[in-house]
Amino acid sequence: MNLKTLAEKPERLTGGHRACAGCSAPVVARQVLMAAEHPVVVGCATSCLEVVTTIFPFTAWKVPYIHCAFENVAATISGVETAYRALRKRGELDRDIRFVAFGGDGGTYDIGLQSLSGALERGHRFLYICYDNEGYMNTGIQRSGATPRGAQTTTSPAGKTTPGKTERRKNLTDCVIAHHIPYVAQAVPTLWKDFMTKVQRGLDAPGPAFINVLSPCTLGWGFDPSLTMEIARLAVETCFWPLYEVVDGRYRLTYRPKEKRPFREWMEKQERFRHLFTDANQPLLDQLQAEVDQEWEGLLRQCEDSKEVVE
Amino acid sequence: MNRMVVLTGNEVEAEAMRQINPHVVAAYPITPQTEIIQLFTGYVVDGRVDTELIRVESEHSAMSACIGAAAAGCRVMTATSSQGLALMWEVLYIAASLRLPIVMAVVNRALSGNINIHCDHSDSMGARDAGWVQLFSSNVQEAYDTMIQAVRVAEQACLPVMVMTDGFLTSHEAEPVLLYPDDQVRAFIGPYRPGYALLDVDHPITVGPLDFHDYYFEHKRSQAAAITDAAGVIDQVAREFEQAFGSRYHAVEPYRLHDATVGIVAIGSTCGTAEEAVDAARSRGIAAGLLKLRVFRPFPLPQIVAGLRHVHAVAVMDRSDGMAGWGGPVGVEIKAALYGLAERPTVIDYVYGLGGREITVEDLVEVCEELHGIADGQDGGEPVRYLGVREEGAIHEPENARREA
Amino acid sequence: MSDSVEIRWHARAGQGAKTAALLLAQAALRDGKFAQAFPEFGPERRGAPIQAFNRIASHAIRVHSGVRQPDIIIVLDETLLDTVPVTSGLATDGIVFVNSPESPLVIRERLRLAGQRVATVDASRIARDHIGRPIPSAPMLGAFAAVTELISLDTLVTDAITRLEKRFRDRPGMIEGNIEAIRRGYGEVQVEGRFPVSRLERLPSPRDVERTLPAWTDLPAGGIIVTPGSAAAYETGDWRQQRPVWDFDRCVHCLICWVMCPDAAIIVEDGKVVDLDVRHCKGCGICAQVCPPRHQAITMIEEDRQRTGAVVSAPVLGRNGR
Repeated sequence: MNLKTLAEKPERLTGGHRACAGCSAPVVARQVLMAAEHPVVVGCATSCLEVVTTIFPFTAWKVPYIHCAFENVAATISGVETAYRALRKRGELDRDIRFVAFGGDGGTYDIGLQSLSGALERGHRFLYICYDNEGYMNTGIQRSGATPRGAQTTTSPAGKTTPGKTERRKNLTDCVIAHHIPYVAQAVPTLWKDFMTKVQRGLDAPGPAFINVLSPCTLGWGFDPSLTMEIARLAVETCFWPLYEVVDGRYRLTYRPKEKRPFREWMEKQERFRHLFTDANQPLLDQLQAEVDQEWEGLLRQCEDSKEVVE
Repeated sequence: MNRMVVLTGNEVEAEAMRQINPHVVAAYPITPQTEIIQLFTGYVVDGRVDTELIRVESEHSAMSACIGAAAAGCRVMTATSSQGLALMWEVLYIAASLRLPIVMAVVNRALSGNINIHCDHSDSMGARDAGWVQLFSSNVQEAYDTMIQAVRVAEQACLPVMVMTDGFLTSHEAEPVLLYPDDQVRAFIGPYRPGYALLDVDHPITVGPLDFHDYYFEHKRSQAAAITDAAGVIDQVAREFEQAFGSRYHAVEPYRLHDATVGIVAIGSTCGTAEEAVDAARSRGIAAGLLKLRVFRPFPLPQIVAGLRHVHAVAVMDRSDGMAGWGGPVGVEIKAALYGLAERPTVIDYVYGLGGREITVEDLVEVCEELHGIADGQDGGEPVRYLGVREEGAIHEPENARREA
Repeated sequence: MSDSVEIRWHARAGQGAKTAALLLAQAALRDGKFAQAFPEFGPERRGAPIQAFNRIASHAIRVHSGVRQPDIIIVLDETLLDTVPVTSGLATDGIVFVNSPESPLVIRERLRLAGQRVATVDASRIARDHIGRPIPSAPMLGAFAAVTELISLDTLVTDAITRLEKRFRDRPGMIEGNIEAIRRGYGEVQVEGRFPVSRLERLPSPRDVERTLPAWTDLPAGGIIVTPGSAAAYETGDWRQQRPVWDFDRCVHCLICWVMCPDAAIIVEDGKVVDLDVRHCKGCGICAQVCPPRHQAITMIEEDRQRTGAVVSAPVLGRNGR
């Protein structure tokens, strides 16, 4: 895969959408559509991406697209995918089409978790892209199940007694892996080749595929719009957001940072963590680092174990 | 060849679905609807239909998957009851707004709480403003015939349709029913031609965009026109159904009403009981009649006015309470329908049968007698009455015990 | 002015217009008047044109509809003058406040105003001097107080202290900076124009100048959009505060900028970057940031503040990259 070849393909998500300057979500969507080699039908949960790309009579999508509601994109796309199988079975359709669902973290980790879980368990052949910006950004930056501990949001403000969100974020990628689907991965748009390769693997998987894409939000996280890609990369370099894939249950790290950077470096670049850097919060900072270390080491063990399985 | 058999409402609805052979069915079990999907699943696993069945994890996902499949370009059906319909509430509106011709069997059951599995109409009445066509059936034959007509209505009106039966009454009671040959049913419904299709990848469309104040109202106005126009579609389909199968259905169906001085308005299985009650009341000298409401959405306003304008007193049988402080939804709408008349009948709203409470011929004869008293000017009393509720302690009736067993 | 005044704010999302309208209403209330403040909520994100509204009156306000025929217009971002019909519906004895270093006469000519008064103040510069960021609302409120006398400077200052104390308890400099910004806006505003004559004639209201929209009977059933990619007709280029410029002696056409552009605004032909889609580039600067350090072919430059039309007039690049 190289960019010169990709650039020859027609753009399938146009400009003229109304995402904030520097928003990562349209980059994620563009890269998914670029990587797809077949015609695709897209489903989108209610989210920033949905709102900014489809304001009647304007649509940025040049592929068939459906938005139904907030919590049900997985169920909706499973209906579309089943319709495809039904028509093919009766000889009423003769095209090779792939199906992609987009949801934010709110629509995936929280309100849409049941719909996602059901669709994964039923085994529909579709690729779910969670563009995880770690909060309810469309409604004005509220905490979600994906918001990291310590982060400030409008419903987890740093107050006199509480340093931002007090609860640990859930690891949705692990939840999805527990469904034993053929393909699961984590990605960032900064490492585009890694991401797009995963998109192609996900679309080629014989059943459900899921990619969790860390998608920095300039407004909600508090950084200059030009830094979106750098912030995403730094999440990888600190091992907060490891890039890996799980194919038929076997773990593989797809990118190993040369040197594991302190988690603090990532947080320091963002306004939402600014209140944490006091002496009083040092134990919390230590805890956050410990949690990153724990998940990273657990992942490395899984990758090692998978090698043994292969050998 | 037509076949006369003895079947339940659930069985004939499953049979209609088998004959219709939709592309996609997505459904979730809930009493008393479950049997329809169980039977239909049997047809799927035995290869008697080509349908792709999605065994979803909730009714919300059932309707969401139906929306996806219908928008993709498929003929789609489902079935539910009570809490299931309530859980779908959000997406029911979306299915109608997207103008997707989904057909759904609704086996009427009371809404929680307390939880109750028996019949009343609070589920489908709660969904009356969702933009769906609502067709009620009062016996097993009607349930079968209505399912077949519903497919045509949905696809011609580009609107989703609910086909109602009464839970544990029409749904589970076996009656003689005339079934039509598969080829005739398939010829009647014809091939499916979707209004639009996501799977037409050469002509990409965007379904479900965001509307602001510059477009939302226009889209709603267009949807309002569609449900208004659906009245004509329902009637046209009923005419064609008569030509194909012999029975003529109407939006409202009067029984001995033309010379009546008092009238009952009823929906669902109560209509048959009410016809018996009308006959009994007439034998006692009361000129009673019945107006059966078969179509509730779109509201058959002219037919209702024409049917009731000459009577002196009307009892609207409401199998749900609107919890509005003035009776149930059917009563409210019938009163509104008659408002334009210079001389209007007195309308009494009878809330009855909640949670499967029995309604008998005697109950309805009593209603006719009360109406007679009103028409005579002897009873000018309560406009909202609760029929069959214990106003004081009573000995448990063995008949109820038998039904619950 | 009558005993009821209607105000419309024009700004870009993120410039503080919504908060400023709220502060204005609070100050008016303190000064014994009735007041109302409300924003126009839309899907627009940071940088997009937005509006906010105030009503100030000597009696209780019962109307809740939007302001279409304002007496006062406040423009927080000068670039909006070219792209948004900011003066539509303005009363003939109305006032336009513009955040601009230009004189009121220059602005009057740009807006082609007849009788209305124009007031200007370089609020962005004042804000940068005292608050550190170009959030122009504080100096604009100061200017508003000076010209209209609808609210007093003292009230504005007192309110600002009360409001900011909580937020900036660890940064007292921010409070002082805001106060100084209000005072300088009050002192430095320039006003020009003749005084009220008649309120009968008005400029065309937004309703009159709106594009023709289809009737409900002309829309496709189901609310669907049948024109894929129609958003391309919607221009977001005027959200831009800065724009990327390529140095083609350094650019190796690796296309990393292209693959990371949120707005598909980098035009590539035959594997080479050839142009910027100025109608859609929002000037986020991701392209310059991701350009590999050994090349550094992209620089962000401040956008021309006086653009003509919705797009930058001069092409950023020649068609073949030069």
